[in-house]
Amino acid sequence: MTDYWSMLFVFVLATFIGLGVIRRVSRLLYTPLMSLTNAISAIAVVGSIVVAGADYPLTIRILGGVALFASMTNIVSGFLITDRMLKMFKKQ
Amino acid sequence: MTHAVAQLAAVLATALFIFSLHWMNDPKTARRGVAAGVTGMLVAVVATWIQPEIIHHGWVALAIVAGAAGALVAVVVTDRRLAAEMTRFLLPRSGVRIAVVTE
Repeated sequence: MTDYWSMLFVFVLATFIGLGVIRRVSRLLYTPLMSLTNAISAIAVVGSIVVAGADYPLTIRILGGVALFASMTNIVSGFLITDRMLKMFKKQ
Repeated sequence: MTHAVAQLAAVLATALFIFSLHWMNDPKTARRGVAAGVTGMLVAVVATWIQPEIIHHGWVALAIVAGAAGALVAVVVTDRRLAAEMTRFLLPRSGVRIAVVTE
């Protein structure tokens, strides 16, 4: 029960942090910001590492490996594409 | 002990992600924002991997290398023409928006 309350606490504080971080973003950077947010949201990779690497039956570990593969593509290409976008902006 | 490391790494990664988004607000610090995001992601992945529950290291390494290789191939293969088209598509729009706002 206490755990749920502390989770709610974290959720509310995180909402305010998110609002403060995003509020005054330069209009030029909307697209790179979305791309970066997508790359960061792949932090769910942590969960798939646990599922793929811990002592589970083989079927579950295969599914975890697929999830790990998918989030890894998201991470690597997300950061690379964001960086490339910023490079293109700099050229202009 | 390693669990304490994991907790510390989680706090560090969270802080790095928040700074990453914050630095993305300004074109001058945008590249630094990407670097902070990459660092935070590395910290989180390594701290999870060294946990004692993770015993099938080869399996994890295989999936990570395959995913990274796939993403690299996809990014490299993506045509430069596509990048040019994206610039042409993005920049006029943002220009129009700024013009509308300043009017």
